[in-house]
Amino acid sequence: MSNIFTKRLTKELRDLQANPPAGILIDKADDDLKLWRVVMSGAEGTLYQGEQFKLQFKFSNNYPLESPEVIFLDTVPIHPHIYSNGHICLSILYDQWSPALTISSVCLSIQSMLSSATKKERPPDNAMYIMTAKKSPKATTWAFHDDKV
Amino acid sequence: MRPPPRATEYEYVDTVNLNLLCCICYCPFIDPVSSPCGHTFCRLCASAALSSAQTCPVDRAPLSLAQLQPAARVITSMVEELQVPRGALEVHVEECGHGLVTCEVCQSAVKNKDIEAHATECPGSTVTCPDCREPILRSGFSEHASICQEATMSCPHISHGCPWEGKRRLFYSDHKSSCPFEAIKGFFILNDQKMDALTRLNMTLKSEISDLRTEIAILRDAPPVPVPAAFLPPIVEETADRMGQLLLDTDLLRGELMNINAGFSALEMRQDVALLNETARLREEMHSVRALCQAVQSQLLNFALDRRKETSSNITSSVLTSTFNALAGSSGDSGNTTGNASPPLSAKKGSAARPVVPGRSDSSTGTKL
Repeated sequence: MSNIFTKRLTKELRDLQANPPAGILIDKADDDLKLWRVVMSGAEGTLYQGEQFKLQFKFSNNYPLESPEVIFLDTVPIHPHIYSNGHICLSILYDQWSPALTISSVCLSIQSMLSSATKKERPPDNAMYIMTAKKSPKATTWAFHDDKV
Repeated sequence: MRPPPRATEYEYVDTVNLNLLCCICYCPFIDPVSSPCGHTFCRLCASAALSSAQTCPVDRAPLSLAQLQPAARVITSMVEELQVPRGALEVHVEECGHGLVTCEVCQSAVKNKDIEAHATECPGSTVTCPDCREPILRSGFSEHASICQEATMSCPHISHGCPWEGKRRLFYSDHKSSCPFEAIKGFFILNDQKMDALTRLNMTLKSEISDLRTEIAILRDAPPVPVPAAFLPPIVEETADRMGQLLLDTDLLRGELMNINAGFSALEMRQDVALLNETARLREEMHSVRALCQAVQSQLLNFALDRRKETSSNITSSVLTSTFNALAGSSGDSGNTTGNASPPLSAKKGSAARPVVPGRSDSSTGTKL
């Protein structure tokens, strides 16, 4: 396991536990730091107020050069950019990933994406996607078109 | 050998300033580099990030490895000032790549990071000769290579054309006695000496030629040296004097010519002005004469009218006389000024009233007419 991977995730975990951002809580992180669970609360004054969601982060040895695989588990929020299998259509998780991004910044991006929703609905191609999608959302070729989020 | 430890492995005494952390590894910068967009990373982190995407990890501006510059000295200095706990220092001292260790073979002090490289060049270690398979000390290996009986060698006369190649042992036992070049060795030596001398001479001459060439080029480019007056024939001097005199004369004449020209133009101007004045005067005179003529004409007209009305011819004649008198009086000095032209005008005015004054009649003048 590469040194930068351990070092950075240890630091991130320590920082997130010490100063967690509002509505974001580390549920658990594996000993080898490769699998994290994060509990995210819907922000006040939005459609998701009072709801709680579980996010799963999976890191490859190449993190932070490679993006983590992030999906919703169990109760998946109903949102035009989140498929019912938990896959999230968010560019920074795929081709717009940058090694300067952190777990905390990814969580904040997802939270802001939830907050900006005006209507609780699934993506229009949800049924088609969940039938054909692979297990990991990173195997999907994503087309990003909504710049407002 | 263990690789030299990276500073990322250290724990720091204080919380490190966030600005000194690389945003990729979240550790204090190691060998920091900065991008043109103003972001700083560890060199290794930056090159790793750029190998997957050619953009700045922070602001996604296009970025290539070549654009990275070493970060400002102040950043490096601040990272170097960070303190590590004593325990970490002790660990580091053992591992530090710059610490000295003693080579077990040659007993010399070698830097920790160089010990692996040293093993391949330690003079105390033994190497196996590839030809005779015998272990030889590294320090004596080059000497051995030149005498090893099993080593392959070429005939020393290879430069003269001998193609022989074989083991050194065979050269002495076999080839040396049969080599045709060996027999005329003395001639070769003499020849080589002569050749060397000629080559040296050639070189010297060549360098001399090139020196001379540059000298010629310099002389050719230099401005021509003026010939000193002492070397010039006297006639030349005289001509020069005369030439100078002539030039002076020409200048003088030119000045005079210009003066004359100026005088001329002044004179011309004066003449023009005088002519203009005269013309104006004459024109005025002409005007007054013309006016007089008109007056006479109108008076004549009046007379003609009057004559029709009146029967007395005396009156007519007297008026006529007075008119002509006035005319005669004014023509003498008329034309001088406009003021002088007034008498005939007043006469004309008067003439309209005169016909009714009988006392003024004069028959004699009337007859004169």
